[in-house]
Amino acid sequence: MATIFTRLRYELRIIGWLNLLVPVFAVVGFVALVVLVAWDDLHNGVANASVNADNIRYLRRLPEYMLPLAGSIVASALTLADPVCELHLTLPRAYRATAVRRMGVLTLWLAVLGVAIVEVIRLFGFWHLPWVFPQDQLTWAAPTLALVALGASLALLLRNRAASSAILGVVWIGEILFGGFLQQYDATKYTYLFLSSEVPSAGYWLGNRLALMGVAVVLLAMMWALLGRNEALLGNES
Amino acid sequence: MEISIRDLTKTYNGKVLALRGVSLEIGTGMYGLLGPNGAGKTTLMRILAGILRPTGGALMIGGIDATTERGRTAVKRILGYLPQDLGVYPDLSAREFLDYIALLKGLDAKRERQRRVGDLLTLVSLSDVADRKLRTYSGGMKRRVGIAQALLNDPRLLIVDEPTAGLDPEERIRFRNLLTDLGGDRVVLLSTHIVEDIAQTCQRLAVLAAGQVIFHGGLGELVSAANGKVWQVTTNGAKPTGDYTVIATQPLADGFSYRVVGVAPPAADATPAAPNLEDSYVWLMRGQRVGV
Repeated sequence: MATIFTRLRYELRIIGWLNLLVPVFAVVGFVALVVLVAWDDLHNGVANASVNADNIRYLRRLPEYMLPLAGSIVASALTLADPVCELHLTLPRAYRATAVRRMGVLTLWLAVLGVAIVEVIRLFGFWHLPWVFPQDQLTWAAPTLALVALGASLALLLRNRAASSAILGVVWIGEILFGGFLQQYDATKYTYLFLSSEVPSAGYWLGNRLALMGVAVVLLAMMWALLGRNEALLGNES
Repeated sequence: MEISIRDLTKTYNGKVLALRGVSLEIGTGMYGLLGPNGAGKTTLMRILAGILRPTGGALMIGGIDATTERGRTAVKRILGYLPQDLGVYPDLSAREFLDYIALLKGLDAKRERQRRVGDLLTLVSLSDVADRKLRTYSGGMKRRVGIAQALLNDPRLLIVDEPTAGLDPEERIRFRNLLTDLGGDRVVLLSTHIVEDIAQTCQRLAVLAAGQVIFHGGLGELVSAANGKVWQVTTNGAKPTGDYTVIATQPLADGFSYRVVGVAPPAADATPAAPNLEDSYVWLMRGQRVGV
């Protein structure tokens, strides 16, 4: 047991403080924008009640919008840039297990942040969503798991940070811009990332959350397979 | 321990032929693998280390069939490997890095692991700076961390790929001495394109070019292959012309002294010189190019 904790502690150190702070920066930046918008509205004579309603809506989006994006970018970067990859491939403990464990530690950190954000929003009385703990944690957990697994898989598949980040960006922005369209069809509405924020009353909310976690499992299996391609990991295979 | 390599081939993407029927027998002690960049040395090292699967051929390492998945896993338990480009985790100290790698090598007992890490830090003379972050280490210090991690599991097979590239002369000598000390009761495979590293450490070697073994045997055999092919000639400045490879040019007060390799003397006043390993290597590679 002590060995497992020691290994997890090292994985946390290897992820590094800067990578761990990326989701925190994203959350802080988002909150700062909400405060800025509220301040601007109040100085422009917008009614106080209206300002509050807008801010609450913005804040409720925070865990579902920001954690998946920040987590996926960090997952992609970590998967691509392991300076000790070649050495890992010669060790008796398989590299794929180490890489997945590292993703697990990152996900655990995102979970800590996710729970904390939801609870803080709830503490201020802004969490007006129809679910209770622990179901309400699916608001951020399902899209975060799906996008983290997507970020890692894309990094392994493309071996290119710019390309994988661009695709992640397209998926994220695409889901925001074309959310209404995506919700019209069965094929896409179950993988719509921001359902809790945009249509919290949707009858298929739980199905959507479970489907997103299913996507994460499939992508994790893909990541596992890609981590077994040593030649590609070392850049000998196009 | 014996390593037996038979007709080993490796093709990348079904197109690039990196190894073409390599056959070698390697016994205990230091063994050099010499060749120009792109000769296939790193591919061969990676196959021996279980990172890459060979496309064809047979590979037995200490009685283990290393062409199978199970065999590769078994080899990893007796292997120490120092890759050409050893990256490190910059935010870990040398002690933490070694402890982490030791865990991944299966050294789970904390006390035993810490003792082993401490011993190896002493061996590579890094005890005093063991708790400094690796980002502050020089290239030579990182190489020493690299050799320490390779020794964590007291490997029977130690593979070091271009270990002295980029090191200053003093670090290079220190590293070579360390490798020689390690070669006693294990197989140490030293892959390099630096002839001097082989000359100073190995008694047996193989030379690879374009994915093929073009020589394997003792150091003396390779050196004697260039007997009568190395010449010293002094001119007033003009380089010897003809079918020669100039090994060295030394300016003199009234001209230049050239050391050349070729079949016949480059001038009537050329004197034969005793070949060294570098001359013989150049002679061998020259023969490879012109098909002598």
